[in-house]
Amino acid sequence: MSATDSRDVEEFNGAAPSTAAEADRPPRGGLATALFAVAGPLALGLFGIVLSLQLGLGELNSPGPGLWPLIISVFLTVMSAAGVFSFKRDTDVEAWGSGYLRIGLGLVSLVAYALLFERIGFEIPTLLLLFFWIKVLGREGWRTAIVVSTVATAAAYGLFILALRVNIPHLF
Amino acid sequence: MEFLEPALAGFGVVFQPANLLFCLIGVTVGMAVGVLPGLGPAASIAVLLPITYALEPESAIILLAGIFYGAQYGGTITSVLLRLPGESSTVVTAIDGYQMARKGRAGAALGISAVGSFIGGTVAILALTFVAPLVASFALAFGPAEYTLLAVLGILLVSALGEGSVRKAGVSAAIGLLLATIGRDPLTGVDRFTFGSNNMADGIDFVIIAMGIFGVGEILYNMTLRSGPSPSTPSFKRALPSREDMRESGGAIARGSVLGFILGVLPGGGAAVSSLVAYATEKRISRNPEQFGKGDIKGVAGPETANNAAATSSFIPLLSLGIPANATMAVMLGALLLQGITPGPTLITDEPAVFWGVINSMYIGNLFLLLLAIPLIGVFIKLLKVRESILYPLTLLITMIGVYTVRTNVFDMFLILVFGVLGFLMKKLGLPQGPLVLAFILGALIETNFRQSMILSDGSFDIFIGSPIAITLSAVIVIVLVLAPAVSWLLARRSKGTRAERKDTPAEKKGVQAEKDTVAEKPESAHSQKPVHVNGTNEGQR
Repeated sequence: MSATDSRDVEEFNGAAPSTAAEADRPPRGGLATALFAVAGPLALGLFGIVLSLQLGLGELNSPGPGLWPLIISVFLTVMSAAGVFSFKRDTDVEAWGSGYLRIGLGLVSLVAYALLFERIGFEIPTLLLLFFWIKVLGREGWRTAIVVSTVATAAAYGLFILALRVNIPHLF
Repeated sequence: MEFLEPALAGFGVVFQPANLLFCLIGVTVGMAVGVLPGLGPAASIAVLLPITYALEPESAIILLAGIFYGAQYGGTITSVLLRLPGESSTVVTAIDGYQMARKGRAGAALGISAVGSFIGGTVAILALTFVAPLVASFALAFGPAEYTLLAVLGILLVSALGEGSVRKAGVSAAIGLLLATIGRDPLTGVDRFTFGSNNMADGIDFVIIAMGIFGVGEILYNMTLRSGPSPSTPSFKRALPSREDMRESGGAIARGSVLGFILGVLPGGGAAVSSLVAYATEKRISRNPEQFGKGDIKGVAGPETANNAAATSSFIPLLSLGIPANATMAVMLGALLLQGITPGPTLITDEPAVFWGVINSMYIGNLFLLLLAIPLIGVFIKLLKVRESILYPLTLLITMIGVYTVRTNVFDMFLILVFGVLGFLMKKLGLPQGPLVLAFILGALIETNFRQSMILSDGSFDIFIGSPIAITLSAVIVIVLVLAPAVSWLLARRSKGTRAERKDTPAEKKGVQAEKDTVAEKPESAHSQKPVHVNGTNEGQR
């Protein structure tokens, strides 16, 4: 975590924005974030160049598999690199905000869902996933969590299996 | 007038009871998702793509088109009642619409929006019926070089005309093009960027990109924002404009229809830009422009008519050229491809049922919209009470199951989460998502046509200036490449100037960009529960 990141946090938790216009926009991100917006795509572009060259370029009158990816990767690299000169004035990056524990847990639960889905059918994982998101991540009451996840699981069964008859693994 | 025969026959497709039902379901679902917080039309259509997979092609597209324009109107409802524009195309509606609602005229504002949308949409469909076949017959002469140029121009315009930095839009588009090259090379059969995985050999399905970036990414992004208490809605009786309202808005509706139609056809134009231009126009020609921003009905009627007309006419480049004009249309293209239909100049002759069925369903859809909107707005408003803690898991569930059904492959469920994280990062880093999605879906078309052009011309780039059409397209590309940075530089300077001396310069002299600023700055935070940030479709409309 750099100094800029902690500024992000401060900005985010900070008191009411001074004008209505500021309230309309999420807080602006820091310099580190702006630099990441340049460096990330740049790395991707360079990676693309290396891989494209390995694929083989062919000739202009018979382009090989690597020629087109190379053209795009070079374009991506140039467009990203140009940001080195302007990232300090970048007003489009946003502060990271909060809630990353919830996002992390949410993503883990979705991965678990995908892993269980094919093994034990979709009904039980669906019920558990919804309950976890509504009760634990969403902090709803027990009754809401149980009712919504049960009804929604039944509705999903009705929609995907009974109505659309799509091919998904199911118990019943 | 021969071509009108299949056009009339298309009504036969629409009037099949099942398709009427799908149209009704589409409009209703569209209005619902438009009202629901969090997901814009591009995201909603993306999330529902796999569900349409099981339907007949005509029915699928009729359903999705219904969702598309239903969502446009759903966004209007929240703009007027809560000053929460769900999408960029209804941002200007929030200015005067919300002021009208505060004065107890919410019903009139919503009513005139419904009537304006209906008229604008219908005018645009009528024009589309005649224009689309013309464009298609013109495009029959296109060779691979022309197609390459046209698709490149489309991406370029969408990137250049969107909000924010043109450089970043270019970065997004390049990432989209690069993602499109993953998988087996169409000409040589070599695996590219698959890292030895069989799951990637066929490339990444568009559905995964669209659902991941727009759907999952949007939800992850919203989870990092503060969410306020559930908003309270002003009460109103019925969404019906009075005769006087109608008389007053007549001119605005007529101008909005024409403006919207024209701007909707242009790549990167679409509903958002046309609503801004319509608002600026109404304000400029008004005898008392000082009434704008205080609840002038023309400030609602004009933009609302224009955004619906534009939403309709943006189907022209998609259906007749196979080139989507914005990200939402890119998702529609994805839906067609999923059904095994490749839109292009031959669609009208190869698949007349799809072509005319879709167009004609819009008449019915607009009618349903008008009929549903006026009596049922109260019901839709209740949806605002659905909390994010319930909405998000349900959306994610449909996404996860839906993506599995496309290829019956669990790998795609993991992939969609990867693209969800990518979409989230892009939002945080200010990289617009629209150009990526659009470039991704056009990527294969551009590459194949580019390589075919090079083979045809024996390696010479002259083929890109080898015909009058190619010369024109190349010239436009060069002009945009030179002009776009210049214009954005000028506008940046101007808006800096505007901010410094805003008190002395009336905004209306500054044109559209100044109007955009007004939109961002005008609304007083009277009782804003949440920041009025425009959801995913901000880019979605590009």
